[in-house]
Amino acid sequence: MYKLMYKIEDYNSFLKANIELKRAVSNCVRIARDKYGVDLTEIRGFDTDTIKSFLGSSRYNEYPRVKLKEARGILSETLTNSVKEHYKLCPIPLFTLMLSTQFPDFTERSPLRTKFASVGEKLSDSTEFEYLHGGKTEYYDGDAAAFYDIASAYLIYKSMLHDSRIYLKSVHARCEAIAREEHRANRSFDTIRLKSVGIAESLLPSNNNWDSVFNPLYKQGKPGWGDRHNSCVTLMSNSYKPLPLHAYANSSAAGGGNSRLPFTLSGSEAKRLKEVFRDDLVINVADNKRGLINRIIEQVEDNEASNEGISIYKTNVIYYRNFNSLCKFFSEGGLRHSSFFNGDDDDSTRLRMVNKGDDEVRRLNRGYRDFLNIRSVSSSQLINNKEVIVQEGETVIPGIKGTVSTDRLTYSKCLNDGGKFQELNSYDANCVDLSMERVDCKEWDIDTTKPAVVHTSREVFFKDRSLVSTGTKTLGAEVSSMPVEEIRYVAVWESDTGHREVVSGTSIKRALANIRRRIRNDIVENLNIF
Amino acid sequence: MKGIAESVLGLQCLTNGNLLMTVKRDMYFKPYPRTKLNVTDRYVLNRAMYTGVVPESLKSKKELIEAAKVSNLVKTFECNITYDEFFKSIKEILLKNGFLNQSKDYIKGLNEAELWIAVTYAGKPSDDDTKFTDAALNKLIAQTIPEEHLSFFEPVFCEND
Repeated sequence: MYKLMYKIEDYNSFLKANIELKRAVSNCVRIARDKYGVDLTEIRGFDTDTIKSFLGSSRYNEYPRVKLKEARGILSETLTNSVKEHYKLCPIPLFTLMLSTQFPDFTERSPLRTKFASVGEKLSDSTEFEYLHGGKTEYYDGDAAAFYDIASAYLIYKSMLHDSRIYLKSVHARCEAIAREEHRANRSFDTIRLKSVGIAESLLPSNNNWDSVFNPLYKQGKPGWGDRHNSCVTLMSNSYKPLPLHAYANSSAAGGGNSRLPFTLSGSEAKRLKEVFRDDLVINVADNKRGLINRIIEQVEDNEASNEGISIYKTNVIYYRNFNSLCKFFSEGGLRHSSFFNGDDDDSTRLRMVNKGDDEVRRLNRGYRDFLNIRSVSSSQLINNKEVIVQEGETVIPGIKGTVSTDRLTYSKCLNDGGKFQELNSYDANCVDLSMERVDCKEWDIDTTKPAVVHTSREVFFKDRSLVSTGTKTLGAEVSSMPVEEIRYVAVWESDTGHREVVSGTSIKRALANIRRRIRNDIVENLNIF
Repeated sequence: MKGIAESVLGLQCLTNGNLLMTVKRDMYFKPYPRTKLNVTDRYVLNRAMYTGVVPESLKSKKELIEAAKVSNLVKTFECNITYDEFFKSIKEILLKNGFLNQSKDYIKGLNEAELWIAVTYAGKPSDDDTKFTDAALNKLIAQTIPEEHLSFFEPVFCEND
């Protein structure tokens, strides 16, 4: 806001005039003191009596008034609209008088006095001021007039300075009010996010070590953090609650297949992470993957651990996980098939697992319908006149023929330009059904009386072309990994030499056991016995 | 569930009673910037790798064909265990380690597919009990797979450039 103000010429000249006013006031004081031995600073206010008493004369009984109203609004025309309103509220700027004025040398004829006269207000004794109107004869008492000039100039200047200070003060106050609002507006989500991303980036390990697909935080070839342009580091609010694993795969709130890893945090959280783990924010998690600690839930008190100088923290760990392996986990809220897991030992419920048309089945199709018991599937249930067979043929599993069917609506939606059924969204995946039957196999002598257990969630199912893969957004291509959150216990141990070990485990006991092993190895290495 | 069992695509019974297992090898690509493939190419290449058939649209691309030489990523072989014994062992694992607080009678009543679902799907990542189930299952599968196919369970890392 102030920067904006300084670009305005009038504002600049106003400031300059203000400075020159100050100079002029001090000049007046100096000259009056040196030449006339009078301390002008004792004069208070625009009181003509005071001046008279200084001059010891009754000739000057009326003080010239200056019309200042015209000076108003010169600034306000040139300022921006937002400031304009505030300017209108300001007192009349006095400085405009001075803009075109060379400040007078008081020993000479004062242009200021001509200014006074030009206002047109008559003084009581006009002859004394004849020269002011261009007259040739000088009648006045030179010293007295000069001192009058100086004293009046001092008073006027001081008054102007006073007013301009009030004016400036009010302008600045209003500018600050505006600036405060603008500042608040600028501290929008983006600003805060960028700042927080900066904090997060400074916390995260450098990218040099992370250019491999082994990195759990890699998503589709790109790191899941640190790229401001992709803004992959998303921030958690305090009220953030981790989603269950399964919810990540399917909820639109999490962005479906495109969801991002949430990483922290408030500044205090970041500091705490830095304090506790320093640079060891990345730990091993399940599947030999590496996860990033993004939240310390609490420090766990454990007697066994504290005896050995180990501190244990309950933390939240995030990482990307392959979609297929994600499907294999149930979170606490993720048990879909109630009849199966409730222990209802009824044959009819088992059949419902693959019954098309059952709402429950459709819902669980997304992440769940991966293993099918072929014996319990009857093809007549699956294919009727309304449906289109999208693909059928030999599968990669010997002796099993697969048929993919869908309703006409889905089929027409998923047709591409070439007239082929190609892409399948997760939304549409519910409408696609897969049935399998056994065929003769030349390579293997298969006993068809025993049921076959088949995994169908893989990208690859048919030998020539694969279509059915439940739960993936676009078949096989886009969903390579999903963000996962997990609560893990992290044990931290620091040796006497300052060496640190950070090991995680799924429980306190596990973390403790893991770090004991590490510590043992560390000690053995240091001793160099073996 | 993770580890070896994750790669299993199909379980069937041969006439001699042995278990016929179809497994898949995991494939990973080196990420950007070394990868020159777009998503579509990668998708098609994936397909080519699994099925062993390189589609005509890909044949003009030399690098893709080179990469597709890591073919035959789905393998079927006969195991050292019979079909019945295999599922019996799984049932024993479940009975020993428990399955989501279900009763033993319930576990005994499961059929083969449900047993497989139970033993592979029931794991929660932070549940200690299922870790034992995982370990036991991995051990079981490792015992049943012929030695020459064990390498099949190691993932392949494929460079595209």
